[in-house]
Amino acid sequence: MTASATEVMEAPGPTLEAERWSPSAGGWTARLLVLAAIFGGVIWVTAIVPNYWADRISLAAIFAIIGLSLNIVLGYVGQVSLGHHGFVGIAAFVAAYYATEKAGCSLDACSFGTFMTATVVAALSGAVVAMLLGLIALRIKGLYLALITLAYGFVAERSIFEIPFLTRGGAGMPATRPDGWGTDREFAFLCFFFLAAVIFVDWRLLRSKVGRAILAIKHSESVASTYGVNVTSYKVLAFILSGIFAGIAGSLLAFRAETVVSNDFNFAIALLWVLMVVVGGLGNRVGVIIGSAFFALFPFLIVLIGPLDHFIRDTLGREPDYFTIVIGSALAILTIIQYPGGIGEQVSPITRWLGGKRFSLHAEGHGGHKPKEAKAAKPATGGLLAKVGLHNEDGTERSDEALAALGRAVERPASHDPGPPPDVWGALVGGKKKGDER
Amino acid sequence: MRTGIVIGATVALLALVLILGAGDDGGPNAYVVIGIATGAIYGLVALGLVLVYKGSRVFNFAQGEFGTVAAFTVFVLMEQVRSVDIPYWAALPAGLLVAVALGLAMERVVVRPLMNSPRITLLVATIAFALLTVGVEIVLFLPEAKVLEPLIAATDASGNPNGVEIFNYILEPQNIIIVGVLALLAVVLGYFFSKTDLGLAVLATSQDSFATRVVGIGVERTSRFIWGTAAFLGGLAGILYVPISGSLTPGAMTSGILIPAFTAAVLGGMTSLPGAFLGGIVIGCVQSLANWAGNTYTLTIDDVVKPLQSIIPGLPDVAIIIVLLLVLLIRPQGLLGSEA
Amino acid sequence: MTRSRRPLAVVLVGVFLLVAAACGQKPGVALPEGTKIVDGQVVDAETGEVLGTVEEVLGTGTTDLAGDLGTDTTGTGTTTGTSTGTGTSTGTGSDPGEPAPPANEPPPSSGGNTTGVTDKVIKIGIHAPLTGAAPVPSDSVEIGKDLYFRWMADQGQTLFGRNVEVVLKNDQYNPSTAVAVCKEMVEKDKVFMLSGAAGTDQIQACARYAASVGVPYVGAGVTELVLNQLPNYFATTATYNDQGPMLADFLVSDLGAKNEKNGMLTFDTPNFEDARQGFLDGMKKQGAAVVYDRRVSKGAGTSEARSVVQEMKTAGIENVFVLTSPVWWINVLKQADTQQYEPQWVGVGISMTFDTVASVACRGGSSIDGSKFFSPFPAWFDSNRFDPEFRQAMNKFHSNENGGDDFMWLSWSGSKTFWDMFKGVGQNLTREAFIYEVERMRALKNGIGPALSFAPDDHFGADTVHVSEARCSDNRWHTIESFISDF
Repeated sequence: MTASATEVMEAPGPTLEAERWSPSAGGWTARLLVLAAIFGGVIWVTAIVPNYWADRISLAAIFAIIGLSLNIVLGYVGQVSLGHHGFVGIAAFVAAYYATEKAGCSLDACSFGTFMTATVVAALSGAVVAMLLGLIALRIKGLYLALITLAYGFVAERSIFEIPFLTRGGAGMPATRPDGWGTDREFAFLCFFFLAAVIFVDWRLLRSKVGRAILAIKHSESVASTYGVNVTSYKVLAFILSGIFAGIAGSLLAFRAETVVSNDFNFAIALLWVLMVVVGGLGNRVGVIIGSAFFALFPFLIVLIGPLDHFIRDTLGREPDYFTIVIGSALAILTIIQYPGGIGEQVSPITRWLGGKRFSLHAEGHGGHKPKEAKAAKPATGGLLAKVGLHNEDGTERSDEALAALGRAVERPASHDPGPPPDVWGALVGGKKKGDER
Repeated sequence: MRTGIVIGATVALLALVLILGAGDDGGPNAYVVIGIATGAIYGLVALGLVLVYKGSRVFNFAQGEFGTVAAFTVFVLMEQVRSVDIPYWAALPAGLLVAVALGLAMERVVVRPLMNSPRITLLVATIAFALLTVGVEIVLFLPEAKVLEPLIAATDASGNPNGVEIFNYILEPQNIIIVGVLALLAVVLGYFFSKTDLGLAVLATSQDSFATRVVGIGVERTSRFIWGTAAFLGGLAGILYVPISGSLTPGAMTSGILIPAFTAAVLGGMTSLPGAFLGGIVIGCVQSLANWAGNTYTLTIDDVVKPLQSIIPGLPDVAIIIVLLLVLLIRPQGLLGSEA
Repeated sequence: MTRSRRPLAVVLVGVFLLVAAACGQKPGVALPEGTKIVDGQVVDAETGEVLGTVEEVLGTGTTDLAGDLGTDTTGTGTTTGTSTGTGTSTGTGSDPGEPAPPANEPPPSSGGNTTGVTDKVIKIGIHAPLTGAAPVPSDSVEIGKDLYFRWMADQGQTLFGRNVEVVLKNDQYNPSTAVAVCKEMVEKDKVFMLSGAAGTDQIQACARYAASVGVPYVGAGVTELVLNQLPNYFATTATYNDQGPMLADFLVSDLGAKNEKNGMLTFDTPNFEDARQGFLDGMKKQGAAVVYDRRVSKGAGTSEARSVVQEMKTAGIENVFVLTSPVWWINVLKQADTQQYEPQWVGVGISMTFDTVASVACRGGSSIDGSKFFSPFPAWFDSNRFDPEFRQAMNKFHSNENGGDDFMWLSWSGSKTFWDMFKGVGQNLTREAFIYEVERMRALKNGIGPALSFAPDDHFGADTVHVSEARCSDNRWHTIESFISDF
């Protein structure tokens, strides 16, 4: 009991010691080698697998871009978008329309320049559409905004995607792959470039003033504005950026499929995207990328496991595809309840190490960028409470109420109150008193 | 007081439409009846949505699936159990039981752990849970359509209708049952939550859990109660609706029902049970009258006379979304809701 | 929210492989209007004037023939004359400006592409929607796909020493997935050719991919958009283009609809435009009016079903051409039953005529009773009339399946067509040879599906349909007319 209390006491705030530590030359070399191995591995795999696998890998890369786009709204701004298929779909149609109708791409040839312009146009369309949502998001938040995104996606699906000049009357709008990047392998590498660009922008953004402002707004709008942060413009900016990423993804999807059909962008896939970002870990870039790739490749991975595939088909008499929804949503629930940091948190020891910190299995302190702790606060589940102690001093079980109060006390500061990170120790000692605060 | 005015105004509006359209066979009257019949299901689902919102302050995306699960249970018992012949009146409670069990399971697995999390976290969790349920339905029952019989057959043995004909529209018995059940539930629940001690206590929980704890009501117990009741309502909606929709498929109560039900709940006010009832009826009428208007009114473009519904495809869907947007942007608390 | 229930427009489309033969050319598509074939020569239907041989008229010439042949009944012309249409350099169809696939070269005598062909096996790849908005039951298709080939092997028959192996993959009712699985089947499974089981978008997408890699694609007839420009694509059932006018003909000639109130109820999706327009044009030509043209969004639910029934009932529509998803049509039927509204339902496409639709709809009432739909295939119930070997095979290999179902029956028919095609190509089976030979095949009959006749500029080989009628006396579809194109 006391041991855990001590742990807890030491936890809040990064210590001076931690800030000063920095890897040795050898340490840096090791980190670089591992990083190179990871990237090299991905590139090598893409280079040697058969075409149809390269095709799937490009889908994974595009999903990762979509994940990062959704992550801005879901992870950084903290709102749910159930209509992302609208953004991506509109962008895809716009890109294809531009390439085929305006820039004269034929079914056999399309210049790289046209492709780039189409992507830019698509990104712009995504930005515009997302900006509209951003403006609405200024007025309406939370659950109601989720409903609006739902409505938005619904309208896109039912009317915009059925406009004849966009859809070419059922044949779909063509978008031929750019010259020089036409094979599946080449296209996969093209997608990698865009993914890298998106990652880079996202990374710089978060480190910049804009990023800090956005996160501060998420933490607490009122406090942020008292510090002079222009809540309105930063919020809309975040949506615009999300739209730009979504637009890029839409364009890539269009050129990957070489025909854009409205069938490809439906509500089911929008939900899938939300789930994949959740499983990846909200706000955690690496996690979101891994999670997105996983969701994109997962259906193909099941069938690779021979015995499992056999079991599902022959013994159960079912298609393996039926299980994709089941497993995907089960993972999402598991993530939300038990492992709120998602994949990102699970791999965080590695990413932190790669980033130049000492290798450790636990995050140090609450300081620094650890988004998403506000989501499904661990204290409310078994996690932290177990550490802290489910029992009173006299060994009896803490009542439900007290635990809930504890949870709320830890949780509330993050969502309502500005100021210091969740004060677990204070909650532990203060008990009900902390729960008083609103 | 306000409730009375709003309900009165709605009734008056509908009555006006009926009067104006009287005697015209192609007029809107039959569509008002259709709207009420279809809207009753939206209202029934919306009741569950409002209940959950009052209790847990979240939109429950799985509300429809409580119904599909109940319908599948009844189907299994009546169609697939061969050794014993199970009558409808026995299968029905079984279906409701399974729905409630699912609701309680959801409460324990998803809602309770996230009790103090941001509401959108819980929203995503309900979405995931709904998808999980649909996925399991597909695995168990395959996507093919199945049949579920209504409580009272639509026609008797010689093919004559059993229902009532109003304004040239035949209202089959099951529809009348649905409207009746909805009205009854709205009244009972409304009374329960505003006049009885337990009901008030349940409400209080959602407003202020701390104060409730002082008074001594278990947070968990009220949470279970709310979710169990919501699941019961959802299950009832499924069992009543599936037989008149023609077929039973996985996700039946979610596709096509959930969004209008949400709009109905939002329109009525997410915290008002009578509002859910009213909202359902109104949305049903909006949808149905939009169908009628789209078919009746025409525009002449380039010398071609085209009905509205070929100019704006999906007019009923668009109408519902417009209502949703208008409410959210202008008056988020809806007609009878009490908070912004 | 899931769409697993949601049948998209495409449901109607296609289906599986196909079929067989009838004689005669498709009027108006392969040939110039007003002409027909007699003894291998193209003659004017009215005057009997010989216009040239089939090869001359339909060959891959460089001039436009339509202008000449269409208007000039006394002309000789196949290579001269003034052209009024817009030809393409690869040969034209009968209508000016109608796209046609580019010409295929005769296959090399040696060294053609023999991927998927060994001494013993020809491998083909089939993509089908086993999950998604309008799925096909996977266990039925798994049994059906091999049935015919197993039967032939059992009978000691081979294709020059080879039998056929079928790879089946799920396209999830999604065009991108269709392309992905087709790619996998070509690259990993090394199939010789591809085939599509259902879903316009999926068939279009996969056929287009197949064209880009020179793989033959034999699929259901769906829309003609895009597909009519692919050199490798062959349609083995009548397309929407064909069936629209045929249905109009059927309604007027067989059902006496000329002076009745006729209506059309369709999903508002672009892929159905062919069928819609074809029907409307056909009705106009027959002098019959379509007084009710109702489009519904593909996500339509019960409210729309009720409203539509009310509209039709009030307007007194007697015959309705329905082109939506089966699940929504079942909903409409349910509402129609309640409203005591029983029009004559007609339609095209395969998925409406699955027995599952009849059995579900008949439970609710009798509005579906007597519905008459075109189908590429005869009803499963009547299979013995068309090919008794199907039941024999089912009894031999899958005796517990009680004779199987319509999915297995369709698969059987399709497999038979493949067999006939392979047989026609011969011992030297390469992809190039396959495409070249098939597009010259004239009377491919398997006795079940439509007779097929292809031409180098016309890869839509079918022009007949069967007419199925739903009977609630046994909850099944029955074939009432077969191999018919002219009513």
